[in-house]
Amino acid sequence: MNPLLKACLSVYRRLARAYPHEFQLVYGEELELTGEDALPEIWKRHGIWGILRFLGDIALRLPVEYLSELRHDTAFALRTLLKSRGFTLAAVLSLGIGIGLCSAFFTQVDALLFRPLPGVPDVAELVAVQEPVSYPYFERVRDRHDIVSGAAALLAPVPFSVALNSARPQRIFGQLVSPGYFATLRIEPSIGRLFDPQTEQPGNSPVVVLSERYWRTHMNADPRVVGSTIRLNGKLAQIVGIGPKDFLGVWPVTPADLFVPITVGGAVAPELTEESPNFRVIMRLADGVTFTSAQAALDTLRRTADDKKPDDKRPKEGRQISLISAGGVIAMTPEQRASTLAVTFVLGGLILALVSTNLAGLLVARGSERAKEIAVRVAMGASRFRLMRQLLTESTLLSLAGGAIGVLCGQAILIGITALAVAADSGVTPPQELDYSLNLTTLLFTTAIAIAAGFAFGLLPALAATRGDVAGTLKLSSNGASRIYRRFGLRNLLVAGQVGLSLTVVLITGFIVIGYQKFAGIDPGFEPRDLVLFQIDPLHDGYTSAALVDRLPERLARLSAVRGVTLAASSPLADYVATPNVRVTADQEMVGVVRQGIGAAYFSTLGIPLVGGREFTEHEGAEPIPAILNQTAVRDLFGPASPVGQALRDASGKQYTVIGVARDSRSAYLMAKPAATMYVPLSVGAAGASIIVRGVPGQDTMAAIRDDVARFDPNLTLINPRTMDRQLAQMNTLIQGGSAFYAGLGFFSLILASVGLAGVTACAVVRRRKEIGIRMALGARRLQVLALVLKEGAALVIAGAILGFAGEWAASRIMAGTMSELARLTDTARSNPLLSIGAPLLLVAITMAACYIPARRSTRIDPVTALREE
Amino acid sequence: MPKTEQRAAPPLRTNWFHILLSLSGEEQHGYGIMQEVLERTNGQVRLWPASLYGALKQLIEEGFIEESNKRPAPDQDDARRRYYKLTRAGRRALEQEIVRLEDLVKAIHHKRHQEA
Repeated sequence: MNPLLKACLSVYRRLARAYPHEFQLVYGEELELTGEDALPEIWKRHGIWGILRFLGDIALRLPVEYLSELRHDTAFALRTLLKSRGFTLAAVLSLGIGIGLCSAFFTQVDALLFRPLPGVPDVAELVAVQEPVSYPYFERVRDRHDIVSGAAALLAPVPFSVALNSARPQRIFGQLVSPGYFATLRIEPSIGRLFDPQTEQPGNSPVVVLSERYWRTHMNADPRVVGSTIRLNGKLAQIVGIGPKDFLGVWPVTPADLFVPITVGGAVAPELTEESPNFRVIMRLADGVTFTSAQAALDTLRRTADDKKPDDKRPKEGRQISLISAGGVIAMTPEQRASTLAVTFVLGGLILALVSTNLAGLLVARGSERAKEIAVRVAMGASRFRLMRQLLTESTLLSLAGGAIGVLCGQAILIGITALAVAADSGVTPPQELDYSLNLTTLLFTTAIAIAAGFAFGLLPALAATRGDVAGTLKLSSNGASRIYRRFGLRNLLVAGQVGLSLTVVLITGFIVIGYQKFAGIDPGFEPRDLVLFQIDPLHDGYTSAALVDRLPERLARLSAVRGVTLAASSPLADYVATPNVRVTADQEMVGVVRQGIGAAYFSTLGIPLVGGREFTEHEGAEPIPAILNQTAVRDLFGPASPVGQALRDASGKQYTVIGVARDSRSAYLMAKPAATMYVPLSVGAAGASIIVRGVPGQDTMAAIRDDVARFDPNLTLINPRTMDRQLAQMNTLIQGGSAFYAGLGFFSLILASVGLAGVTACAVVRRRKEIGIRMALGARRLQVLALVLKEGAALVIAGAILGFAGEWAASRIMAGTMSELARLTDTARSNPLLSIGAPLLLVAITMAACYIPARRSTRIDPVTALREE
Repeated sequence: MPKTEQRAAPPLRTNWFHILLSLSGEEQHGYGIMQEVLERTNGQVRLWPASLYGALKQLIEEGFIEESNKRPAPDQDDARRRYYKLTRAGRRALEQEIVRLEDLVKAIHHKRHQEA
C-alpha cells in the first residue's frame, strides 16, 4: 500500500475511534475493516477525489452520529423529567424565578450603563466635564480647536412653563443650551431647523426646539407647528424646529422635551439670573487628541483661569477637571459605574448560586435514587462519559425551560418596577426614564446564564452519580446502597451551603424590609386629613415679582371650602431624606439644621402645636430674621433652657432671633427621628412655593381652589395639586412595593432551602430503611428513630446557619461600601433583636419542619417488611 | 397486499432501498453489501463506509434488518464481520417500495404513449 493510502487509512482509523462509545462497541471494528477493504478499490477507480470523498464521508457522519445520540438523550431526558412531574415543576419554577431576577437586574444595569445615547451619531466620541463649570470657562474650552472639534454648554434638567395656543400652562422639563449644542451632537432636525451660533444672538426674540416625542404626543406631529408661537415662562417664543427621532437631550435618564438657547437671557429663563449658574459641558475631541491629553489640557486651562482670580475659594492643587464619557443615558463617573456593577453582580450572583445549589442538591439526591438504573446501564456497556452526557442533558433541559420562564419573569418584574415608578411620580421633580425593552443582549445573557446554571448544578451530581461501584450497587438491595454514611459527603456540603445562602438572603432582605417598615407609617406629627397641597412657580409663569404670592393665600382663605391657608418653601414630607442645609450657633458650637421657609399660620394650618412663643404673622421684620425652632433643634442648640428671645447666628453671619418653639414633626419621610429644623419666613425665589390648604371636611376643596385661581389669574399654573392623603399613599406605594419585592425574595429563598432539605431528608429515610428496620426490630422507639433521622438534618442546618451569618456580614459590607443609604438601613435594623435572633430561629424552625415531615415516614416503617425487602 | 398499507407508506430513502434490495437474496456483511450495490448499479451508486454503517444502524432501529447468526464455513469466515438479514418488516417495506417504483414507471409509459 502506498504511503498516501497508509496516511489516509490512519486518519480514517482515528476518526472511526472518535465515534460515540456505544456505536464503537457495536460497529467499530467492522467500520475499520470495511474501510481498509474499500480503500484500494476507491483509489483505483476515483483517485484523489475518491480519497477525499472517503474521508469526508466519515468526517461528516461523525457529528451526525453524536447529534443522533443527543436526540436520544433529549427524548429520554424529557420522558424522565415528565415522569417525576413534581420535581420538574419545582425545579423549573425555582430556576425561572432565579434566572428572571438575574435577568431583571442585568436589564436594569444594561439600561443604565450600556445603552447608548439615542438619536445621536458617533456617541463613543462624546465626552463631558464631570463638574459643572462657569460659562466663561466653557467659552475658553470651545475656542480651543486644538483640543475639541466642538463643544456645548447646557443646564439640565430645567423646568419650563409652556402654554400651547390658549391652553393652560403646563410644566415640561427641558434643557437650556448654548447655540452650538446641536452642531456638537451632529444631529439634524425632523422638520424646521435647529440652533445655530450665527443665528442665535442675545437680543433676538426667543426661539425653542421641541423633541420629536413631544411633537408626536402633544401636537399630533402636525408640521405646521414650526413657525407657530407658544408661551414660554410667560413670554412669547417661536418654535423653529423639531428634534430628531428618539432624541431627548444628552443624559436622557431625565428626558428633555424642550430646548431653549441661553441667548434668551434671564427674562425668559430665571435660571440664567442666578449668581453663577453652573453649566455642564459636552464636547467632541479633536482628531488625534486622547482622553488623557485632553484632560490635562483642560486642567491647565482651568489653572491659568484660576490664577487670574486669586480670591476664588476652589482648591488649586491637583486635578480639578475630570472628563467622563457622555455617550450613555446618564452622567456617571467610572467609580459610580463600578459600584453599580458590583452591587448588581453580588446580588445576582447570590441568587443564582442559591438556585443552583438548591437544584444541585435535589439532583444529587435523585442521582442516588437512580444508582441502580445507572449501574445497569454501565454493565450493559455505557461509558461514564455517555451517562454524564445523559444527565447533563436533563439538567440543561431543565435550565433552558427555566431560562424561558426567566425571560418572562424578568420582564414582568421590570414592568412592575416601571409601574411603581410611574405611580410614585409627582410631576414636580424631573421624571426618570429608563428603557427596559427586551433586546438581544438581554436574551443572550439570560440564555447564557441558564445554560451555565444548568452545567453548574448538573455537573457535580452527574459526576457523583456515575462514579459508583457497579458490581457493588447491583448486589445491594433495590432501595439503594446502605453504604456507611459519609458525614462530609458532597450532598451534605451542598445542602449546608444552600441553607447558608438562604439565611444570608433572608437576613439581608429582612433587614431591608424592616428598615423600610420602620420608616413608613409613623405618625408624621401633623394632621394629614383634609389637607390639599399644590405648588406655584410665578417666575416661570412670567411674573417678574413674587408679589402675587402674598395676595393668593388671602384670597383662598376667604373661600367657604377653606379653613386655613399657609405657604412653605417645600411641602411637608417632600423629601425622603432631609439633610441639614445650614449651620447655626447660639454662641457655642455650630449645629446643622434644616432651614425651611414657611408662611404665616403654618403651624395652625397643619395642626402642629406650638410649645412656646408665637407663629409668624403676615408682616415680619427683616433683621434679625425671626426664627421658630422645633424641639429637636432647641435641644441641640440650647439644651434644657428656653430659647424664646435668644439670638442665633449662621455660618454666613446672618442674625436670627427665636420667636417660637414648635413640636417635632417629620420633615422627611425616611428619618427615624425628626431632624433639627429652623423655620424662617418664606422668601419666594425662582423655585416657587408650596401652598398648603386646610379644607373643610366633606367639601371639594380642590375644585374650589382651581376655580378661584382660574378666575384670579388664568396664567398661573397649579403644579401637582394633590391631597396629603394621596401623597402619603404614593410614598407608601413605593415603600410597600420595595418591601414586597425584598420580602418576596427572602421568602423565595427560604422555600428553596426548605424544599432542598426536605428532599434530602426524604432520600436519607429511603436509603436507611433497612437500618431503621433493624433498629426498630431491636427495640428502638419511634422517637429515637425520629431523632436519629433529624440529627442529620439538624447538623446541616446549624452548619448552614453559621455560613449564613458569615455570608450576610460579608455581603452587607460589600453593598454598604457603595450605598450609604443601605448601610444606614441595615445598621438600624441589625440592632433590632427581632430580626437578628428571630430570623435564624425562623429559618431553623422552618427547615427542621421541612425535615420532620419526611422523617415521620421513618417512624412508620414496619421492621418486618423492611428487613424482608430485597 | 392490502390497499391501505400501500397508500400509507412513504418513499424509502435511496440508500436504504439499495441495502434492503441487496439483502433480499441472501445474508451479507457490510463490505459485501457495498460491493453488491456497486456491481448491480454498474458503479453508479457507491455506499461509502461511514454512511453505510450509519444506515445499517438506523435500519436495525427501524426493525427492517437484524443481525444474522448464519455464518459461512470457518475457513472463509472473518470473526470481525457481522452478517445482516432482512426481517419480515424489512421485506414488506422493500416490496412496498418496489410496487411504488413500478407504478411510477407505468405512469411514465402511459404518458409517453399518450404524447406519441
